Amino acid sequence: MELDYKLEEHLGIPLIRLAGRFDAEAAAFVKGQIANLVSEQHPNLVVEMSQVGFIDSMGLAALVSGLKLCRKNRGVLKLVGLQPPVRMLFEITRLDQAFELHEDVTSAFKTFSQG
Amino acid sequence: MPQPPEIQQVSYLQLQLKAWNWSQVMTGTRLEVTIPARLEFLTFLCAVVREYCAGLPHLLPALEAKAGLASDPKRVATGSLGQPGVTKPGYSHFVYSTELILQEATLNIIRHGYNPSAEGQTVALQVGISWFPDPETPFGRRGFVIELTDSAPRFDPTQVNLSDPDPLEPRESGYGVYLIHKLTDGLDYRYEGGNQLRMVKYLDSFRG
Repeated sequence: MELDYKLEEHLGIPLIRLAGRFDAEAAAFVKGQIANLVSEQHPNLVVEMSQVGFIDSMGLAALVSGLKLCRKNRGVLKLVGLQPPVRMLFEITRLDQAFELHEDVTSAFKTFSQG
Repeated sequence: MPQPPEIQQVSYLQLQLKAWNWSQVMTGTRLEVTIPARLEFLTFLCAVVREYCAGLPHLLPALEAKAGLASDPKRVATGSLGQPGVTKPGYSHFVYSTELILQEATLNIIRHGYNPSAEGQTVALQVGISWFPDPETPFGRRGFVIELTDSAPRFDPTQVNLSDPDPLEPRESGYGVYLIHKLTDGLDYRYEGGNQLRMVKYLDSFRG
């Protein structure tokens, strides 16, 4: 697996920082981590991806799985800092409209605090 | 005439490939790799492709010009193309798309074509990648041709019924073949004793 995974917390909301290659080899791991973090008590999640240079279909699927889990718990999954080639994939698959996308972590959390 | 990729890089790769029991033939601007059809080899396959792209010196200035960046072969070869998973200026949409369609097509074969629990299987997946640099080639434009040959059960990705994703109800699977269709400029399937898939990616068609 060529993906670095770090977990932080801001305002009581988990922030996952990913770096490297978010592909089929890493997808199951990330999907499992998200499933452990999101619950009825903790329905929101932020995933920071500014250092992710490559994502494939399995990486996208893992994020969609997380998105559905957050929605099921009446929460939101926000993605931060998509690189242009990665963003291109979100646009092609129209997932840019499914996720809430932010330029940086500050703006992602600002919208949480505004409710 | 196009220059062959850097000899030094080829040697390094051959060493690495030997260790993983891969076979590789690189002649001119064509790269041929045979790998066991297993997921853990996929990252290496993509690394080989990136090295291959980085080793095409005549390709880089064209990519950089397309991306609207100053041409600096050294930076590109070591800073972006050679470094997996890290996006820096110069890592063009074109190379990303090429790597991705290879990743998706290969992944599809590995995930759906073979039994992952079959230990020690030696089924080979042959990957051929050719850079066609001249408009005089049969393709008429510059770009890559990726050819995949495997002996998995018959599967024709050109016949998959594709529906556009719904952003309100995003699905959790099916993005692979969808992306192959969206990102290739030519897709051709044949079955002759095995699956043969050919994907074409033109340099002048990449987004961005």
